[in-house]
Amino acid sequence: MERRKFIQNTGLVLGGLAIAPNLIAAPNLKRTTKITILHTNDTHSNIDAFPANHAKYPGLGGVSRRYELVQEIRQQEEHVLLLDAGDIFQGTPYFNRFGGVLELKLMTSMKYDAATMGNHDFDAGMDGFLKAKAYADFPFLCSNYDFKNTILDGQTKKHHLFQKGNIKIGVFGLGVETKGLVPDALCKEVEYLNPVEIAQDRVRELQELGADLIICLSHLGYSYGNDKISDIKLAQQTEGIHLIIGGHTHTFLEKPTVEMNVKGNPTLINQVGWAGVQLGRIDFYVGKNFKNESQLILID
Amino acid sequence: MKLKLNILIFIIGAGLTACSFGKETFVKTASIPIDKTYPNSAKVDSIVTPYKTQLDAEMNQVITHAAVDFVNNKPWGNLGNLIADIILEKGKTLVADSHVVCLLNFGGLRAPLNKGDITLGDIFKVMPFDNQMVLVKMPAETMEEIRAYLKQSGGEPIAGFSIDSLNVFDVYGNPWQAKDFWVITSDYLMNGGDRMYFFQKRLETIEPGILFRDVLIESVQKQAILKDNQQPRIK
Repeated sequence: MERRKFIQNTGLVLGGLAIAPNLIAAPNLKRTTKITILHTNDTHSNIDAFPANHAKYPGLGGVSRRYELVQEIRQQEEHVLLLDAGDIFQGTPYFNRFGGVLELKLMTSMKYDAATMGNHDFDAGMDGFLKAKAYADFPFLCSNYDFKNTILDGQTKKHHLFQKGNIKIGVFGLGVETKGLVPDALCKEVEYLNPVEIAQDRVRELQELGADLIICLSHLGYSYGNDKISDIKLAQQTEGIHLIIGGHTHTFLEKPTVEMNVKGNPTLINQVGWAGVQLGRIDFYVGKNFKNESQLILID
Repeated sequence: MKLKLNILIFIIGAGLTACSFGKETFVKTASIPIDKTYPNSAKVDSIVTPYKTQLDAEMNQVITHAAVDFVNNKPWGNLGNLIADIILEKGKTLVADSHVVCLLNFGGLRAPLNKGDITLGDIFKVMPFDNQMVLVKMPAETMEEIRAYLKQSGGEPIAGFSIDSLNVFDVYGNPWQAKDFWVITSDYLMNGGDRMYFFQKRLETIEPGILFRDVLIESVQKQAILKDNQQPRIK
């Protein structure tokens, strides 16, 4: 239902041309630049695949296989970004015994391009995070945590602009409210800032820097039954974000959710559960004169 | 027939014209299950092996056995019952009072205990957090706040009491005796984790400096087969 609305809406944007949705669904992709976004979230220190007797995901996951899958895609595609939406730490004894070092070493070997911090990435304390981070050669993007007065000050970035072919991709990160979620002792001086306002600031700045595509790495969570800010609400209350890669709620989505933003344009939201049992893949075929999210069209 | 074909060509033409402006960005998506389709990477395995060898020696020790799957569920599950019972039992040895309950959080139990051999590593997966056991004395009237919290949250692992939409019961199913009581919980929850703000009203605090996980390990090692308790404690 969401997708249908999405396509109809796009039809209107095209100036009222009576193009049937099924014709849009078979577009000419030849003159576009293909950008392949690969993503994970809430991998939670799951280095090994789940055992064959696992109650929910028997035999699934494993960093070793994820590496091979990513390699296979890298061989086929020219422009790949590999991103993570946080909660890299905590969940297996690898974290308890080695403090997150192995997780970040492996993400570096897979050539992750960026990640954001989830609430559990504070579990070794900020000093623990910093020690493990020495093994990561990709940036942590955190725009709504103010780390001033903490040892993480200057250790994360608000956003990063990636150049892939002729396309600039702006990526920024949002973290979940730490109150009631992260023990004070672990994140005492960290100030949590309003994600909607911060997101809009990031979008503006990334647009000024010439970003063609804007991606938010979010650890806010997909959706809640109350007023708490979520990816769905973030999409509805902002503009200019093409894709929100979510986490925190361990939500498995069969297809990305499409939400209409403040301007009535689509924003995609995706999340791939947890523990690295899936890899999310989103291919953007960016048109030469693509300007904003009003011209996004989801195809099969 | 010919007329129809013309219309089709016209529409396709319009589609191509629209696309040739290059304004659109098309999006294709997929969630790819990571399964046996993909081989293991020699490169990753060489990085992991030294860590894994060290860890496996410790974690692969079988310490007990499960005859059924122990699963974390709301409003209650046999995993929550098992663990809350173990924590309560330990806590009772640390306070000189019989009015004692245990309150944990659903989100704190991170994995099921699957039917079969249970290893030390399995216990770490259930309770990866280095949460400390704490004992807090609560004023009598806060039991109603706890009951309301449990209804609103949809249920958390508890022991030593049960609730329904209106009432609180003791372990024998009798009405809860309203007087000050002790709650065995984690430092995380006592400090406002999962918005359990009622703990701010605590009268006394005992922090014995014991990890929950260590309590669990110590207890399950004494059980040849884990006790499957199917009692619905939150109704």
